[in-house]
Amino acid sequence: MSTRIAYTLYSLARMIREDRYFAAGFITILVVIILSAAASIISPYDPYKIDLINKLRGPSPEHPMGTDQLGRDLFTRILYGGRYTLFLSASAVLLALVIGLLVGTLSGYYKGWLDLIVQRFVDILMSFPSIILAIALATMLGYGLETLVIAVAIAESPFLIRVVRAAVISIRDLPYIEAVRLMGYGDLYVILRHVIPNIMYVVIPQVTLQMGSAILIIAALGFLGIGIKPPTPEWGSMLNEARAYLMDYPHLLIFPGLMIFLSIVSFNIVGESLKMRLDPKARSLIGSRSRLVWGLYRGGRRGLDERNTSY
Amino acid sequence: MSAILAIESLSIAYQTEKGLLRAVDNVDLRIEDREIVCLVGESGSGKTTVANTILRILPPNAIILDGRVLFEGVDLLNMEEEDMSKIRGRKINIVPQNPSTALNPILNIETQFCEFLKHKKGIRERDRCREIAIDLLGRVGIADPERVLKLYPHQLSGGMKQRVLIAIAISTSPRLLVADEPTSMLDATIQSQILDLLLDINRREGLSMLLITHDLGVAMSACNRIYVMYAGEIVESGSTERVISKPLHPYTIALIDNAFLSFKSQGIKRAVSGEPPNLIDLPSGCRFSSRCPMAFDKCVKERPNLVQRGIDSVRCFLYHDASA
Repeated sequence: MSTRIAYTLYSLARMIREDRYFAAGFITILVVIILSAAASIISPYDPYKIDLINKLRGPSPEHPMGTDQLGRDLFTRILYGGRYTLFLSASAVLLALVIGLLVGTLSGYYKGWLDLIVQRFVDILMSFPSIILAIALATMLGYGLETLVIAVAIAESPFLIRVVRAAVISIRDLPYIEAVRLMGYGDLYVILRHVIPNIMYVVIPQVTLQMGSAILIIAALGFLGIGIKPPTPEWGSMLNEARAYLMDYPHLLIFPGLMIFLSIVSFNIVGESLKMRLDPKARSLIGSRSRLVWGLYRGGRRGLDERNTSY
Repeated sequence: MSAILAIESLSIAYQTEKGLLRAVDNVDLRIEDREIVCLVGESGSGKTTVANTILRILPPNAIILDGRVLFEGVDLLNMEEEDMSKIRGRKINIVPQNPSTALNPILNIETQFCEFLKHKKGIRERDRCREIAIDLLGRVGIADPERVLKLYPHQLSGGMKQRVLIAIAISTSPRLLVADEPTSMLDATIQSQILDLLLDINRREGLSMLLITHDLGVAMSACNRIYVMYAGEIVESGSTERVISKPLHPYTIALIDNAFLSFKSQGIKRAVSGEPPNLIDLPSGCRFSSRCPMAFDKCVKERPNLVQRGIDSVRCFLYHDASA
C-alpha cells in the first residue's frame, strides 16, 4: 500500500515536471486550498467585522484587495469564501461521484431493462443545462448547506453516470473479468475488486473536470441568491453584494471573479491533463497546445465534451 | 484407450436477429488420454464455439440443439452449474487466445495467481501461494519467477503473459487443457516457443490437449490427430501424418496448399477462393461445393455424410463409392 502511495506521488512529481500546463493548474489549486484552509492564520481580520469608517477602500498595504461596502477586508473574505466555495463544490462532486459509481456500474454491469430505464432517466436529467437543474432542485429542496450540496450533486451526476457506464461496458466482458466471474466470485467482489479499479483512469479526470463546473454552479447559485446568502463570504454571493458598486468600485467584483475564474480554469486544465495522461484514447482528441483553450472553453460549455466521448 | 473427452453429434446454433445461425452442426470429436488433438478451420467455422461448449461458457444467445459432451464419461451439458464450476478451472482449463486481456492490468501477477489458487485449491497463506507460483512459473520456462511475480501485466511481453497464463492453467493439474488459438496473438518466434512449451507440458504433466488453430503448420508440429472443420461441420479427421501427407477432402487439400505454397497437390492451383456459406441460410448440398474445384452435380443437390475408415473420416462424395 505504501509503495502505491509512493508511486502515485512519484508520478505526480513527474507530471508536474514534464507538463507545464498541469503544473500551473495543480499549483494554483494547491495554493488556493492552502490559503483558504489557513485563512485564520494568514489574515488578522475577521471576515464579518464591520468597519464603516474604512469602507470601499481600494487596495493598500493594510488591505491588499481593499475593503467592501461595509468596510470588511476583501482579501480575508475571499480566503474564508474559498472555504465555502471549494468545500461545497468538493462535497457535491464527491456525492455525485458516489451516485455516478453506484448507478453507472450497476447500469453498465447488469445492462438489460435496468440499464434502459436508468439511462432514459439520465437522458431526462441531461436534457436540462446543469445550472438550470441545480437552480430548480435548490429551490425545491429549500435553503441549507446540505440541500445545496445535494442539488449540485444531482445536477452533476448524469455526466459521471454516463462516463462510468461506458467504461464499465467496455471492460465487463473482457476475459479477465469473465474469468473471475466464472470462478464463482460474487458480483459485488467482481465489481469492487476488478471493475471499479480498472475504470478509475476515466473517472479521475472526469471528477476533476466536474469540480470546475461544480464551482461555477455553486458560485452562480450564490450570485442568484439561491445558494449561500450574505453575509457569509462565498465567492458567488460576494459578487452579488458587489453588483451595485460595479461602476465605482470594480475591485469588489474583480477579485472574487478572478478567484472563481482561476479555480475553474485550473481544475479544467488539470482534468484535461489527467485525461491525456491516463486515457490513451483521449490523447489524439486533444492536442496539448489547445488544452488551455479547452480549459477556458469548458467553463461555459460543459457537457459538450462528455457527449462526444463514448457512451 | 479411454477417451478423456468425447463430443457426440453436437449441434449448436446462435439466436440472431436474422434467424438461427447454425455454428456447429453434428460434430463428433474424441480426445484420448494424453493426446493432443487439433481442431483446424478458418474463422467462423465453429472452432471456438466447440471450445466454449466444452467449458460451458457459451454466450446467452447460444442454443444447444443436440448432442453430448462426455468428459470422463459424464455429460457436461446436463450438469448443474454448481458441479460444472468444480470441473471448469480444475479438471478442464483454458489457455486464452489473447494473453493481454486475460490478466487484470492493475493487479500484479502474484495477486492474480493467489486469487486463483485461493479459489481453486483453498490456499489462503500468501507464502504458500508464492511458493507454488514460483514453482509453476519455473516449470513454464520463466527464468526469474520471483521478479515476475511482482510485475504488472503491462511490464511483461505477450509471450511471457502467455507463459504466466499457462502456469495458472496447469496449477490445478487439469486432465484437459483447451487452448483456443494460443499463439495467434504472438509473433512467429514466440509462437514456436509457446507451442514447444505446450508439447512439453503435455508430456510432463500427462494431460490431454485440445489445440484450436487456423494454422496447419501449428497443427502439424504439435498434434497427434487433426480434425478439420468447415462451416460448422467436421469435413475430415485422421492422424496428423495422414492428413498432411495424404489429404482427402478438397478443403483440406486447399488448406495445405495454402500453408505450404510449394506443395502442389492434385492439380489445384489456387488456394481457397470465395466465401464460406451463410450459416443462417445454408445451401442444400455440400457446404464446400461453392468453393470446391472438384464439385460435380451431386455436390450441389445432396449433403455428403461423414465416411469413417478406421480413425480417418471424410465428408465428401469423392470418397463415398470407395466405402460402399
